[in-house]
Amino acid sequence: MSGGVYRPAMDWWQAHGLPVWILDAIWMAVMAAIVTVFVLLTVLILVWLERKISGDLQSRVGPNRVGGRFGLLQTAADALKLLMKEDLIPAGADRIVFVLAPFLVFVPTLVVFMTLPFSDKWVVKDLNLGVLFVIAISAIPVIGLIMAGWASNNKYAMLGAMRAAAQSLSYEIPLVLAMVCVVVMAGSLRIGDIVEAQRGGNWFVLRFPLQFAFILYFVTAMAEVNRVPFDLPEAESELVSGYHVEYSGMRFAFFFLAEFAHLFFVSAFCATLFLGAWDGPWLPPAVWFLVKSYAVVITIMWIRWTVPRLRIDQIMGFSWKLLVPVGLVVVLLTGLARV
Amino acid sequence: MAKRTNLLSEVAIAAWSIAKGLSVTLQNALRPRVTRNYPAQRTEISSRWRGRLVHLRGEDGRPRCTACQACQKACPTLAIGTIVGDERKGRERRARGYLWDASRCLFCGLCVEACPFDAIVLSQDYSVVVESRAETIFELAALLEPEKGAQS
Amino acid sequence: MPLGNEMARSLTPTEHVTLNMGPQHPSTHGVLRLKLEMEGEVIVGCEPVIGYLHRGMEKIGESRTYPQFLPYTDRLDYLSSASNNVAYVQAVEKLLGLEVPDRAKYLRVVLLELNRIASHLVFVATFANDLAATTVFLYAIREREMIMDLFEMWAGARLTQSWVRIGGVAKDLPGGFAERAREFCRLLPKRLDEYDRLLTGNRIFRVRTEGVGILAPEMGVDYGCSGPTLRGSGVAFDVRRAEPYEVYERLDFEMVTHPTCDCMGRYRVRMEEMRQSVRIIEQCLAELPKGEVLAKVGRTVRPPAGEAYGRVESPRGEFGCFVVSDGGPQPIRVRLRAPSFFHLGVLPQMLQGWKIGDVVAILGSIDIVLGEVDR
Repeated sequence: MSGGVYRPAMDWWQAHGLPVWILDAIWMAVMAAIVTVFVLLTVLILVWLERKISGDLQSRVGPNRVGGRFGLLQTAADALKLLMKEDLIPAGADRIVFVLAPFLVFVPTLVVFMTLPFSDKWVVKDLNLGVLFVIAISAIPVIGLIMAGWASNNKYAMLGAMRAAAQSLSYEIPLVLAMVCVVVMAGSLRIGDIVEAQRGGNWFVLRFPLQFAFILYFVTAMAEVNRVPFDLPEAESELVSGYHVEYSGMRFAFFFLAEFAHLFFVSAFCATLFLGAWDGPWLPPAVWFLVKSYAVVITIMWIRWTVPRLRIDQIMGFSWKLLVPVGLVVVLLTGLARV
Repeated sequence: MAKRTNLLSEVAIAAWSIAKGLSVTLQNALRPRVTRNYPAQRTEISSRWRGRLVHLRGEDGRPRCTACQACQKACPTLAIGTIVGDERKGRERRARGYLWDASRCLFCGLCVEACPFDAIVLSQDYSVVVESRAETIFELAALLEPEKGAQS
Repeated sequence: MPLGNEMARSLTPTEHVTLNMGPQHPSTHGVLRLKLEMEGEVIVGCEPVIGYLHRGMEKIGESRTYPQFLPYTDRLDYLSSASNNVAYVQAVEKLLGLEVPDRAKYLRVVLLELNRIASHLVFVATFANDLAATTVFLYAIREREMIMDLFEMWAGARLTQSWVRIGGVAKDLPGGFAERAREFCRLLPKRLDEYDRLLTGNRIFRVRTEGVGILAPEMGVDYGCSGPTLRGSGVAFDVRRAEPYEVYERLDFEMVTHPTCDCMGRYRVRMEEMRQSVRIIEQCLAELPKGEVLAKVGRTVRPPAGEAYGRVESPRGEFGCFVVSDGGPQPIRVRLRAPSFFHLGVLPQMLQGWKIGDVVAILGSIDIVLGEVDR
């Protein structure tokens, strides 16, 4: 990967008799740092985008003062404000768990970005088990949620966390089923292979029956990221308390950042699995990747600002009674199509 | 099989209803924004707006108010305090002191209706901004409209 | 519908949990405290605690003259202040035996119906917002701004107009008002269609409101409910038809009911009522007779001793004002009958067996205003 810098550097390194794995490790660390910075910048942009898009849909202007007419520095100002807030840990809270929880939510979200193919030459690490890795790591933030709810020493935060966990887990299954369809179609778990199979405009979303897998993935992705209409774990605060109610300042910012990072990830992953990732004519591949990812993000935001919210039993019923059977049927159809 | 088709049609109807909603929000996104960029753009205030109390002057430049206390009697919230007139009697008297409490005022306009001399109006001034409770009580000098020809 | 708790209850005796939906809350419409008693997820009891907005209106009424009390009535149901004004003023006019000029009656109806639309728009906005359809909130408020502009043009105030007087209306319509009002009446039905497309047909909205929060018609009548809360249960009671006031008997409009007794029913009643109000306003503007807008009333209002009750159909239900006079310039008793008070009374019954997520929907659908509950 990485456009011609790695090879010469590796040659120089090996010429000096230094072990390969050290350079690899350093390389990986540098790539990871670059991706992390990218993710943080993306989150800043996404928060601004959400506010601007919601403003557009609601006949109003979004942020328009901080950083020029378009309020471009608004998120930075908000982040600064959050940094300056008092760091409160509630009395009777389990301190260690309380402090660890945001990390457990944020770090896995960052880690999965390492498998995304930003362009034909830019992947931090194209694992052989890419899709499986993504599924596995994406399940870790749920633990962080439960930790946050438990450690808050707040009955209602606990309730909210339990619901968030229940929702996340029940939507894992249709999500995995949708991804399984793609894996079956591509014949491999490796994300590089999946993208290769879609080159030249032959995107998976255009192949029957993956349109249904696309819709299934889209809906379950919204549920995984806790977006309306599935945002009851967060909106519990309208009635009881969400799982992050006792968090303030930078700790809360971590949850917030994690949510938006996760949102971008599922959109980018959707673009990778179904829309051909960086594949496209005459624009550079990285630009195509971003265009497709942002298209999915904007659609999710559009839906978020249009539809009302579902109740928890309706959310669970929707998953178990509709999405899982549909997922199974689509997997079957995909298998038959592949035969 | 009938139950299966029912489910499918329900899903289709549900998806269609959400699609209709999405089209509405999209249409609205294409309309112009209704936000006015205050304070750069100010809204036009109607001429009947009931804002800050203002004492009007007569032709001779003196306040029209004759300290008849009709406004004080009409006010529901005792927002109009002490009214002091000069030594003359009846219609010739003019007010020397007048206290209006902006924090008690309901801006209902009953005082304006009660005044027999059209001496007071509720103006279009909507920004009554003070920095302490004591400053919410306005005296006659602050309430009088500017003299004709004077800088406002 | 109690969801399968009977079996659980019989096997494991559990304690009830008390959950406090406190006075500071984004979804209680005002400062209302709900003490919810829950068995797991299901609500088995509810005690509304009110009084956080009590301002002693009725006591104040005893120490103000009749005209002076009028601006206080605005602040009761502050979302539709003209209804409160008219109820009070009707009671006083009954005591005085005063005849209001025709033009004033028509103008009062225009004011009342504009207030009704404004209030129902706030209902749609907050109801949708409670269910997370925030965009509808902003659209409805955008439409309501047009009504606020009309009020500003006419009365000089947006919310608490205090524009009704004993004997009529304070001032006549300004120039250009009729055109702007008609323009608004043309625009509103189209916007209501948009809300229908966004909300009424939306599957998620329907799933949250259909069948939720059933108010049986008999219970509604027993508890003294009125207005869209009662009409959403199919009971055809509207003060504008039961005891017509102003010029409602001359106007052609439908009394809107809905048979389903649930949140969706109440919501649909209010949506349709907005369209009917547009009809009424257009008729009034067309039929507006010439004449005075204020009857001649002396400087001091001293009704003869007696008592009178004025009732109007406010957007929330029957708002009533009972005034007792002893011949002096101030009433000796002003009693205000607020519809939201009675609806809060029936709320615990309506919440039985539902889950927490439904509390917000049900509370939103009965559309209370704490200003008139607490007075």
